[in-house]
Amino acid sequence: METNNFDVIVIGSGISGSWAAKEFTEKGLKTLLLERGRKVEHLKDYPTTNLSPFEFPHLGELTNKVKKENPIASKCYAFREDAMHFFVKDKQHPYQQSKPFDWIRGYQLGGRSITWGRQTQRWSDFDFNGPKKDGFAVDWPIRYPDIAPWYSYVEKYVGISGNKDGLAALPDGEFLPAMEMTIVEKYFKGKMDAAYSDRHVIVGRCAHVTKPTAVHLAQGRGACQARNLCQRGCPFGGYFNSNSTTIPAAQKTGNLTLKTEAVVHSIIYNEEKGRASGVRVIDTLTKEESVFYAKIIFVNAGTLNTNLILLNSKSKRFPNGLGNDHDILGKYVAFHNYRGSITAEFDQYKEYTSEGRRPTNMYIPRFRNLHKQETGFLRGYAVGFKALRKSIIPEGVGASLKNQLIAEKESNWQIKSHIMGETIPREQNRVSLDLNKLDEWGIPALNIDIDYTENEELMLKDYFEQVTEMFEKAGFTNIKTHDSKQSPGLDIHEMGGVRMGNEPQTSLLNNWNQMHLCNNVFVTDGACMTSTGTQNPSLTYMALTARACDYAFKHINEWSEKSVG
Amino acid sequence: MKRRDLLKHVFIVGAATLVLPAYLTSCTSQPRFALSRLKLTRDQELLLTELTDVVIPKTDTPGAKELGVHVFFTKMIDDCFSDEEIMIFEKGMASFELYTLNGKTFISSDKEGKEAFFNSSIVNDLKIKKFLETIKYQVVRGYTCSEYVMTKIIPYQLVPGPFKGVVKVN
Repeated sequence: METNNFDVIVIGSGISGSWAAKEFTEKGLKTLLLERGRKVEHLKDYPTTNLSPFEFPHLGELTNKVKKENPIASKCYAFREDAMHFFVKDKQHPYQQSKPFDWIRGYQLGGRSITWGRQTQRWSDFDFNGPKKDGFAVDWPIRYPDIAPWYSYVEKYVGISGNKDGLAALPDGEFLPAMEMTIVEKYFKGKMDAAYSDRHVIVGRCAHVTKPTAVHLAQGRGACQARNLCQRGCPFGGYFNSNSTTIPAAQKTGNLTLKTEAVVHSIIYNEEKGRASGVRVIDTLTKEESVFYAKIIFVNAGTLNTNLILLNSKSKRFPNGLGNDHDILGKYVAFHNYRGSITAEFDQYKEYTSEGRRPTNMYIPRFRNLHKQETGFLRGYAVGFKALRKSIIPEGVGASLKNQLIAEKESNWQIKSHIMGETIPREQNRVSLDLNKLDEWGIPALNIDIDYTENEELMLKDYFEQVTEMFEKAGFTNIKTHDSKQSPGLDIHEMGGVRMGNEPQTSLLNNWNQMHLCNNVFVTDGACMTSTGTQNPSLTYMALTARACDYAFKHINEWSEKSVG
Repeated sequence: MKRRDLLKHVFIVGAATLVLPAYLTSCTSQPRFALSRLKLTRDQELLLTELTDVVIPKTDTPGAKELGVHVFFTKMIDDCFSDEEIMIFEKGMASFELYTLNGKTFISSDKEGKEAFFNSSIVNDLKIKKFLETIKYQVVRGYTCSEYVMTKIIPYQLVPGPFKGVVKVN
């Protein structure tokens, strides 16, 4: 018989929520996993995964019609003919922009874990200490040793390829063999090691199974084949997504109830018990409302939607949103600055090339303001880097052009780098509800008010100067800097709004991702982030989730009496 | 979208055969380009077909025209170009129809004469240059991404296998 009572409710099936579902079901707890989008089953629902370019109507390109209908989504690099079915279309779920913000979403089982960039760098105490040291936000309530074992725990399961580089700013993890560097990437690394003591060119650590262990084989996953078509879903399970691993693992326990096409309207607060009792859910197709109850609630709806749900969870005790006594919910949202890129060329090593399509790049961990404040801006940036040869269109026309095309002539080495800059969480960078604008499920529209500051402009300028200098030292030519001026959001690294901290007056979550003022509700997606670091954040969300699940499970007796009032 | 499992795909690549659409095998007076935004006269259809043949001609393997690349790329332009890009393309094409080298238009030139239009040191009209650059790019992409080339000439590696970073060029 269908029940409305569970031990745990997890809101959202993306990269963090599905970890919570796996952890709790494996611990024997009856868990309800709610997903607002449709069901996507590993392999079965990857319609484009085995298509060659000529099998697409437009070789993968977007049509003018699609671009016109999706001015926001079509800015995303992965929103193309082969993967646009995994993205929210602009018309489907509108939101308000006080300032331009490109909100890129994936409403389906597995969420954005299907299309994510798969870069998985650990944080260090240079990041966790940052807000306190530089005084720009509340202190993180945890330090690296608190999360390190949980990084290891999730890394072994996810499958992370990388080298043990021995860098304090980017701790080593549980690594499968790294992807290979090209000859010019090796050359550049050597040049940088000789020219600087603090600028390390490493292979980007990424969620790709380069050499499957027994854990990955048991998940039904095989080795990455360097197709670099990950955004379609991988027939080998070569990269990590929720659909191929955590969700099937949760299902296997028999303890999971999965509801797709079920959007959460709000969390219900029980005034007498002083904790949350359940969630109000709308069936997205029938618009029917149901209520589900549980002892523990994990909110993993994706940073901004997690903010939305909490803001919309109003009660007598919390008229301004769950746990929001001090008007901080929805504030201090930050992101990563990806505006800058630099291209260059290198005409040596022409007797070498590479084979296959590597699904990661090189990474230069943050080197600015690491040990001491040395610039006019706060914090720093990591640098992405790659050197590859490309096929070219030779000069002329006719038989000679044809023969050269068939001979697959390649360009000289093409160098490309980009910035991943830390941004400062500011009170003004916030999201709020527009109560006058309800969607078809009766949920208020989210208003997003987020902008760049002078700090990002100064940091961008420094990136241009420093990396140009590094390229010059390597003898690269035709060095060109480019500022895309892209809006915040397109980095798809939105973080914060429900930040962790030590004090209930200035933060919403404690050191276990538990709401200070409603202690059976946990937030372990990007919304919990106190600051942004310069690392791609998903690995940290997964580790925080597993850690919080362990804590919540050990304390479940605190909420153990029957939840239904 | 077609849904295929991997094994099936590997089999298909292994056994791929070239099938040309019937409309390419005969020259008829029926309009061949089913377009909704880009406007082409019959003369312009012929012009694009001839341009395609000049950029990548038939040798011991089929040329771009034989592979229907002109039909393909006009469809790409029709579907994917912005309104402004279509307008620029149409204007460029109209100018090109009248443009002459050595007193002859492209269509009335012989083979060498036609190739000369793509020589940027001879042609200095920017609008014409831009138009021909677009044509060349579209033909090359349509050709290299055609099923025939991607299965018979330069097989597309759907599953390249582990990335090799340092490989000597042959």
